[in-house]
Amino acid sequence: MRAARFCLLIGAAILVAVSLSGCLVKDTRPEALFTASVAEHVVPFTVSFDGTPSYKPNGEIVSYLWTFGDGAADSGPVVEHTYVEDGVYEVRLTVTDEEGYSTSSTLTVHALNPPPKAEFSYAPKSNMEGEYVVGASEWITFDGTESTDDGEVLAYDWNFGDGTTDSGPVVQHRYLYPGTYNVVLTVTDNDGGKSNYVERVTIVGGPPCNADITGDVTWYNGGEPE
Amino acid sequence: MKGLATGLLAILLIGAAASAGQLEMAIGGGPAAISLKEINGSIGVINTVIDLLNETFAVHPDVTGSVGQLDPISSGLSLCAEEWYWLTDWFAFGGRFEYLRSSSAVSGEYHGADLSTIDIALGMNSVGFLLDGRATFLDMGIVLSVQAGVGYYYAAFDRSVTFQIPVEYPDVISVVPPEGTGRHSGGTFAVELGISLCYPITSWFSIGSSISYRSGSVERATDRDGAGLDLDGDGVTEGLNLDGISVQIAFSVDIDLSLTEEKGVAQ
Repeated sequence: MRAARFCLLIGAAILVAVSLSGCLVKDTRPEALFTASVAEHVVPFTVSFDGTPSYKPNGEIVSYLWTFGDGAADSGPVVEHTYVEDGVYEVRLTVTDEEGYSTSSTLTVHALNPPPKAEFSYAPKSNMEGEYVVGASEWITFDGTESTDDGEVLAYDWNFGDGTTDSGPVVQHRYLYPGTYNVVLTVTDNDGGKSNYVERVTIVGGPPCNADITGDVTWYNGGEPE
Repeated sequence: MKGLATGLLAILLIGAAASAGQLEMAIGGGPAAISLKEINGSIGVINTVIDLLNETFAVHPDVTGSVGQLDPISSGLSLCAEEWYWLTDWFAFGGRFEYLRSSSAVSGEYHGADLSTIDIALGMNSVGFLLDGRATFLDMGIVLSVQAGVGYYYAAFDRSVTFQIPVEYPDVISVVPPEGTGRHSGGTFAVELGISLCYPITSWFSIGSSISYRSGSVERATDRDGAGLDLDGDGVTEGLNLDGISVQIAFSVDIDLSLTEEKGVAQ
């Protein structure tokens, strides 16, 4: 019995030691944490990443490894990276401590497609007292091929401001009644980016008697359907 | 869970009475330490983010205010009720019900173009029911015993997080605590080892103290939708590590259930 109780006493001492040491157990993994100077921008743009907020409780981080989601990688506590292609990228920082334990943190960077630049010209037009005008019923050629994009402009959509629309890089239209019309060209590029260009077209005079008015015609009074 | 605990307790009581031995019932309470190491790791991350904000806005011309640090959840209060049936004069078998609570909170504001509030309140409650064995190895008026048990712990972690970063903050932070309120809970089997000191005041009443170490971890605490707990927003779910120490002062009453005239000695 004495031997058994002695063993119990030793066990109790071990228990106290285990208890005290167990209570001191902390999570000692490194924690990865970083900031980005910008998380959403139109390409190309450069982002500065700062991994110095990462830490390890009672320890030291010995390596910072970055992957930028576009195949590029870098190392160091503070790095920069330039995104040239639009897309959604997951930036990952992996920090490793002196014991070899690693932890990662991620951040999503949205590299935006630069929108196309819409622009058009039209002809014919006459300069009347410093203002360009077009005669009523006169066929006007609208040319949107001056629009540009880093990729390709796939769609040209026109709104002539008189209730009619059309599509295509070069279109023709005529106004039967005088007035000022806002012509809107909307271009769409191969990445789905859109942009508009608006120009006022001033129509003077009335429809000539020999105007070639055929087909379904909606008559307007001051730009509004009657 | 409550039904299981009640049932086991009833079985113990009935069994003890039927065996007609010495029965000891005790209640106690005291401070407890709890590891919650993954939760406290997340609290460290949250504090680092708060540090980033404080450092930035300490010198920002358009924003005032700062937010304090969130204390780790490492200590709390434990309460227990237990019952022992002494099979011999030095060994007892029993059941133990333990409740443990710990919490932490912080609140503060940044005043800029808008009012940005950081308000975090965290709380952990657990209940456990264990089947214990207890052996006395020293009895010199003061009784020294060791005890060991296995059982089941159910833990619930409550979070209420408002974390508004002022628009003036120039950078984007990779880890931001998700806002919202909710309860994540789960259960785990656990073991507990302890040592106790008991001083019999009378033949039927004792006062004592104990220190015990519990080990158990709820690997995945889930909310009502089954989602795991991600306190710091790093995409990694945190478990509830219940490892820790409880130190308790207990009062116990001895009941002699024997049918003979000879009464047992108080333990």
